[in-house]
Amino acid sequence: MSATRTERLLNLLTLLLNTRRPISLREIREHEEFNAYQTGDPKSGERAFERDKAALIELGVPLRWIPPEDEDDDDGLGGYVIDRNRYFLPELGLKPAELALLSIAGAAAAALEGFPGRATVIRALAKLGFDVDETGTFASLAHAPLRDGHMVEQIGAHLQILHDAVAHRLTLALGYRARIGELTQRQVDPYGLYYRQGVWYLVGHCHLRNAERTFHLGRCENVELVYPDRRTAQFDVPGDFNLSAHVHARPWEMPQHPPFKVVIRLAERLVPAIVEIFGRRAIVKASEKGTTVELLVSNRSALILAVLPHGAAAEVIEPSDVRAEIREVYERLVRHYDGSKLLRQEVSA
Amino acid sequence: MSVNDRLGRLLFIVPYVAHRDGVSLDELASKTGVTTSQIAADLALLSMVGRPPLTPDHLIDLYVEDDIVYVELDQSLSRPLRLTHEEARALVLGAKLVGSLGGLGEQLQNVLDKILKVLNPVDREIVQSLSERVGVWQDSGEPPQAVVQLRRAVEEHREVGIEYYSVSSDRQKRYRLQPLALITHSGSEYLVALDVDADGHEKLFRLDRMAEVKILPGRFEPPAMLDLERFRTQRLYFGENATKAEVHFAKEAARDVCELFGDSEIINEADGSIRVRLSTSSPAWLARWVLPFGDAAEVVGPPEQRAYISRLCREAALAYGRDP
Repeated sequence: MSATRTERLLNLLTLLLNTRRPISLREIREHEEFNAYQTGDPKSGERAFERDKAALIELGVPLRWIPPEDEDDDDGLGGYVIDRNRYFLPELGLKPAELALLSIAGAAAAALEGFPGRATVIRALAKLGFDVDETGTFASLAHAPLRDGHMVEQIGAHLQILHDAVAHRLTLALGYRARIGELTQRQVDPYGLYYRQGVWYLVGHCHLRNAERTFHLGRCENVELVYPDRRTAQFDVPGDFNLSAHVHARPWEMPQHPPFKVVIRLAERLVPAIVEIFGRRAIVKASEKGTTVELLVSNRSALILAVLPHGAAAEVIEPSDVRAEIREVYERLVRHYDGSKLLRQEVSA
Repeated sequence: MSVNDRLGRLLFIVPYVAHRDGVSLDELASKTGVTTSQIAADLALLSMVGRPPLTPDHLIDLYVEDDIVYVELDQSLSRPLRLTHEEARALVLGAKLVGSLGGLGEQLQNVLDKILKVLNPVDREIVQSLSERVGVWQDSGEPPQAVVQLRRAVEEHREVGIEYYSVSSDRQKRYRLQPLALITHSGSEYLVALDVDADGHEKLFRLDRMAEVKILPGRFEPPAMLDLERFRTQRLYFGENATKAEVHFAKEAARDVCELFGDSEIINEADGSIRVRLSTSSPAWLARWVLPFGDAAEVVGPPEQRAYISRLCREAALAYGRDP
């Protein structure tokens, strides 16, 4: 925005903020400070005024037009007012410690790599600190780095559009390259957005597949609003949509088949890390024979991949077919690293 | 800078200064996240605006003396503009990233509720509905008692004893710690603490690898300056003894690997397979990243890391070959 326009917007806002009665565009135009609205072509001046009005409204200024039938309106043109009660930030009575908490949250949002909303966050924190002279401290920090380090700018920009689309329920157009497959163009009604271990995901109704789908933001080549000029909601989120089921599910809980129980015997050294490895839904049983965890598994292959890094320290003991499959994977790995001959020698010994 | 960023800042500067008996240029710059020279430019612009007609008594009256800014006439800009839903939304997003952190998330939600109450109803509905539809992965459920105890220990400067599974050494250890801060990084929670039995060396501990937390009688004096911002880097989480390992991935795994290790050095082979040189804090750490790829991944070097994974697989194959 040019300094001249910023200056004009401030003048317009100050004029309206200092007036109790509606001011018509004709009156506004009479001031030489608003010669941008007094163009040779009246329509062009009106358009300039409309653009300025839109900028103020976008900033949150409660600017309203009062229709001409109002009896206080002398020239019958209607006019503009700023609702002072809705303009000013009320006193929130925030304590220094509460502001410190907000600062941790604000800093986390502002530090999102590539996310262009940094200025918005800073402005929000500055406003909320208006009545608080001291800020408390919390020895805490939150950070959500992106795994796709080379794509931060693109993902951050997409995140801003997605955040907006989820908030206002606006349909999106995505260019999406699935894990296996070609680039496809899709329209998606975005239901929710979540972050998981360095990756942002979008969950929504995919018009192409006519079903709910999850999209990895690092695989989105372009993200746009289908109707960029419309801000009204373009779809309803189903009543039974539960983002939490997507966000908090462990890979072996992603539904692929009916769930079955898996029992895993743990080496004692892994016991402190049960929550990290298996989550809080794992049922832990300790006995003289050692510690086991029981999981409800609805994605068998994901469970196998999850236990592989722990070797014999996290040994699946039930069911036997899963156990047999894991054994085959390890045997293939041994052949990879040491050769099958060595394995046969040790087993026979 | 977006269209309205500057205007939003200008509408904050006037009431902020008017509300106080002078504010330094540095404070204004820090509050608004810009440089002092940008603030100087903002003040120059503000001194030319006001309520038309712009006679002297209609202008915003501000001046700078010894780098302190004063506002004499605010032209009714007496308080900041109400919070917009975009601003509230950004804070909600930040709060999601904070997570629970030993009850901190709950306290933060209470503050956000206070803020939501003063939004207009339309904005409030947008922000509340968004809050339900943006998530950050964490293990759901109440924070365990151990985490609540750690927060207390951090706040009261109390020493703690913990039972911990160390991935780098692949064993369980007991630590005596001076806890300094709690951190959420990539959705996982960490404790920053000084290891009393290792000459007060600063270390990071994942909260979900702790079996037991005991608050000990001893109190300690925390360091005068604790710069938490340095934890906004991935490097610290590899530990000081990070080494490079080279791993070969088959063609079918290449796409996933490039997403997972995008920042690592990747060499493309003619057959579509790839070789990746990645930082690793220990062979056990490397096993965690490489073994989920099954036989589509093979550690090439260094020899001790290859030997570790080979041994782990051999022992596991033997264990799975016996009756459970």
